[in-house]
Amino acid sequence: MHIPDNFLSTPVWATLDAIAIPTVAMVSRKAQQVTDTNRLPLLGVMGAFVFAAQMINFPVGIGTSGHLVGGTLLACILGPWAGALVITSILLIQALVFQDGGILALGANVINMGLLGVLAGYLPAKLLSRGKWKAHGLFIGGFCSVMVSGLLALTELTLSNVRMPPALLEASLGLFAINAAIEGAITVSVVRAIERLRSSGPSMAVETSPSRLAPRHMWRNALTAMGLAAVILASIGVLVASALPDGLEHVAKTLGMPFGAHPLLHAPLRDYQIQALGTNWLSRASAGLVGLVLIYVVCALGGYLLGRGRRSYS
Amino acid sequence: MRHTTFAQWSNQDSIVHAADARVKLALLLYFVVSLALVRFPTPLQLGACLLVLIATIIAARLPLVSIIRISLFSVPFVGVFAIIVYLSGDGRRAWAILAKSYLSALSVLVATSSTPLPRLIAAGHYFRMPALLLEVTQVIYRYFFVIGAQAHQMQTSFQSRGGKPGLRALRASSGMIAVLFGRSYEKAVIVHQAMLGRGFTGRLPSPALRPLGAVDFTLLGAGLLLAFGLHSI
Repeated sequence: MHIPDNFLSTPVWATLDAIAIPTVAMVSRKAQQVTDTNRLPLLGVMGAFVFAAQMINFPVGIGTSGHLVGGTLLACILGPWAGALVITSILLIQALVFQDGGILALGANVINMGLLGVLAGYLPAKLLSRGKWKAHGLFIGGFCSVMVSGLLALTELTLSNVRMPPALLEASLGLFAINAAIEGAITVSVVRAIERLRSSGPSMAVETSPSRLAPRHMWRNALTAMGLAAVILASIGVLVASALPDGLEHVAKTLGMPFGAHPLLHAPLRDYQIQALGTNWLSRASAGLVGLVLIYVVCALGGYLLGRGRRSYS
Repeated sequence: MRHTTFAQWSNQDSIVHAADARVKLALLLYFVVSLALVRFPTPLQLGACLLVLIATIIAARLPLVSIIRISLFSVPFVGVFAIIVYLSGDGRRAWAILAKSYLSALSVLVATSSTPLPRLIAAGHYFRMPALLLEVTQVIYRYFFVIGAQAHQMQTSFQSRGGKPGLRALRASSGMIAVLFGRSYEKAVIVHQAMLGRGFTGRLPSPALRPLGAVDFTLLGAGLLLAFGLHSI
């Protein structure tokens, strides 16, 4: 599910990078505020644990095997902010050291798996964190987490003009659903095993259920559920909309909208060239440079605005 | 194991290793972005990019064959996506993407294996990446190989005791992860105590970067010119 470089079109990866970078800065600040400064070793070692646990194969039936992704597990152990941050770090290492996922597509991958994936896994686990529904909550959390990541990846590919035939789209959705169910099952069984270990072995201060953070008020419960529904519906909705661009274009035409929906996103540097510059190659090369600077400026500005007035990490 | 070779490579001595991490990071980004912006690169352009990367590997005195072999690990990941594009009826685009993605992955590999991680982290601090993110990344990178070795060992002992796929294996695997969690948690406590004992105040030290000099700017300019040149052929 790690999207490599060059598969997303420039408007898609650039937009996602420009969204992801300030958001990660915000998540990092939140994680810093919520968790103790001294928990850095815990965050790092738990990240290394999930990274290593991803290598353990779960042989499920004939020929197929799955592995843990760990977003839900981390969010339950460390809380959603620190969980998202740790998954982002893992993605960074995978892109830089293991060439798993591209560096321009890092923004997309971080949003898919690190931010929205962890959120979609954490919310159900948090909602159903009490009583006999706890295991259900964890399963649904694991399922939603992987499913949302997969849906988002498919959506981004479709937005990048990869016109998947319906059969292929259905096949990959089915594959994601299987993987999502595996993730749910692994999350439940790992949390159960950790609790067994904790009840018999040396005491561990780590809480594996998000119940200590569970909302006490009814309306906050409702708000969480709505947030979850919004994330899932949005990812499905965009996928459907972008998979059927002709339908969208048709609607746009019937409604008399001035724009066709065909290029769903317009690049600010259209056709990747600056027309004012004369020669073709020079303009193309400098468009890249301008784009890079532009993204950096947007991110720096976003980070500055988000961080203004907050206690900085020191 | 792989990380030791990686650490060895990134700590070697060469012109490429001596170059400033910030310059290398900026050039890497520029290279990858310009590659992404050329929709259908000509074989000449692709060949020229490959030559530039190979020249960098040789200048960095890195083992060419091993680097190429490791870079080929990225092909299956990229291949799955390329097959999706191919099946979507865009054969020409699929090949172009496959080639460009491989070159991107190779360039990342060349950059990271010629720069020690602490200096990459310091460059990240310089570019104002979130401090906590960089520090967590450092700790994860350090302990991944420690805990990964344990995970590998557990899997080996599972297989050597006749572990077979099935529902019981699912339980055994989750038990493995739980034990791994317990050990990692203990490790985190011990590591924390050791760090406190060495004067940990909540921040990891990062090596000081020397101010950017004329050599660095010349290198940056030369790199940009080279990328411009690649666009023009």
